[in-house]
Amino acid sequence: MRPGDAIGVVSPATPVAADASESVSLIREWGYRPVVPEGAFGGRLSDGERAGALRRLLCDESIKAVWCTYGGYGCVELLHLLGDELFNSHRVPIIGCSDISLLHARALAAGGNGIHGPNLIWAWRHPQAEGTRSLRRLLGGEAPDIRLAPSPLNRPGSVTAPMVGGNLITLNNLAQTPFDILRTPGAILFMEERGEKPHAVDRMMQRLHLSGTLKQTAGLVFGDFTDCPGAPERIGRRLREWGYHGPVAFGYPAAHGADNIPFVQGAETILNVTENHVEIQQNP
Amino acid sequence: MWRYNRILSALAALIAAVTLAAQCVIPRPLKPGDRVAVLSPASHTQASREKIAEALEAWGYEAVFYPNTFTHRGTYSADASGRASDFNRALNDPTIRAIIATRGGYGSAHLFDLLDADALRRDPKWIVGFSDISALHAWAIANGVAAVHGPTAGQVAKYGPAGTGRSDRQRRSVEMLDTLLRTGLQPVITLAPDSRNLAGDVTGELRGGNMIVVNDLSQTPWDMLDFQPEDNVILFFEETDEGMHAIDRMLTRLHQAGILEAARGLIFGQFVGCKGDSDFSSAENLISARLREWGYYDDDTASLGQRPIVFDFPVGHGGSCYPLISGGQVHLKADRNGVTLSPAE
Repeated sequence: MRPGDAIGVVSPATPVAADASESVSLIREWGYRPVVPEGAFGGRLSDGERAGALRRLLCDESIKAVWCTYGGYGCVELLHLLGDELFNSHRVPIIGCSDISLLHARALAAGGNGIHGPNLIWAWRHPQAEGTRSLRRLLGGEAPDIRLAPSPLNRPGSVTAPMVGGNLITLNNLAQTPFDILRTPGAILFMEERGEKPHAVDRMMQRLHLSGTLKQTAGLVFGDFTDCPGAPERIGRRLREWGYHGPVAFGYPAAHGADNIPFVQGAETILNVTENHVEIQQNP
Repeated sequence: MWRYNRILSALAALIAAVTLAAQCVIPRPLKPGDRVAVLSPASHTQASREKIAEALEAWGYEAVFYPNTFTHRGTYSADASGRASDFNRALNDPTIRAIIATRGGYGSAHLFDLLDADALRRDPKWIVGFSDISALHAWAIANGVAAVHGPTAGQVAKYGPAGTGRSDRQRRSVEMLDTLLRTGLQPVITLAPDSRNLAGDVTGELRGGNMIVVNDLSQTPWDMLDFQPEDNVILFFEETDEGMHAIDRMLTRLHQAGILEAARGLIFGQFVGCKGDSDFSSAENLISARLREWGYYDDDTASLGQRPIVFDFPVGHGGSCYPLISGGQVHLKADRNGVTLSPAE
């Protein structure tokens, strides 16, 4: 993106308060021009109205990215209201995480893209966070180069493949729909979760195992499992039990934790896991 | 011309064979003196061994307990291999005519790869329970055998003849299970009308269970929601303690994946303790509003005749668990006078 480029702002899921509109100042600070449709802040829009706001931004050729204010819940009802043409012509990336994963899934299904990264309000509240800074650099064309601390749950290996993913429960519920990005053969899957019980996470992982979904992947990257006690350990144990074949990295700081390092959905990614380090590098 | 006819008749035979193969085998009804396996294939139980034995004996059966029926290991009764070993022993014992779970909880799906499917196909027997046990029903249906979505052994002990302080629906749930096991037929269930119902009159194969358990079998070989419109499937769902968003997400998936559209009838049972931040006062109202929004209440959406939609069916948690033969052929009729579910003619 270039200085002065326009970034659209939407609240496609849970409504956000009117006073959160100050968050657009961050976009100005970064040298871009915010485009804020009516109702993005302090609105209580219907499914159709939220889809309409998003549609107008995605159709506008002057808009170079669409940044979601907040996740929460509600994107699933927009999926069938957004046509393929919105994503495959200008390929405007939608930025966000958590419930926003669904919009990424929608875009990828149509050949579009997306940036899994901090939602606008979070970035505005955490201007010094590495996730916020790295998103700024990413918009300027500099891909993040990520090193993670080693984890005994990891599985060593090295692959280069497109990385896709997001919130586990929302993406899990796209099975058999046209937007099922967990079934992207040969991809590195990224998964994160918040506030789900251990057996709920286990049930979803079981499904991915029993359905052969994990078998199709090149590697696995796990983000934050916030308020999901013991989930990473249990997933790690299951993957060993099932004899998972590819590299596995736990602890990618993204989604609901202390930081939120962005990645480009569907971009070629080098995932290199050894006993002593983890390296994740994208070429968007 | 004779050749053409022969091809046609071969084709007809093939279609008939495929159609027949698609119908589940109904295990034989129980006789007095038959043995019933009591197992804990998922979570561990606090149910009373004596009370279960007494209740089954009152029905004329002998309760058979297994090494892991009453053991504890974490939240489970035993590890997956221990639970599967009990189940396989029951499947391979010709004197056992039904397997009833003490309770659901979580863990049935861990057994899939460990269960003896050949034993069930060779000697079909009833698998009884609900909630997490829906996963074992899905496993049975995938192997061509119908199962009973109905009270657990713990509930049979609690709400059976010796039970005290039971509600009318709790008592009826257990009485109907007794009838079902003795006759091998779907007991007739009649209900008062519900303002959210949609009228319709269909015959088809009943399938379903706990919404999240069944939902999370999608794309696996045990996915009971993987069917075509011509399979004439009537779906039923119940849920407990899932948030409104979770229900909404699953329902939306079932819609977007074309599963609701492919079903001939939709039965929504009890949604107990399903709360959360939502514009709707109950999970049932959310479901009904979504179905209306998506056009399921418009007559012309169903190409094969109007698809009945039924709410507040007495199936699920909270003690209302009228038995349903998952994989059985039933007749579902809903109109302004009420609802009747009965065995297919």
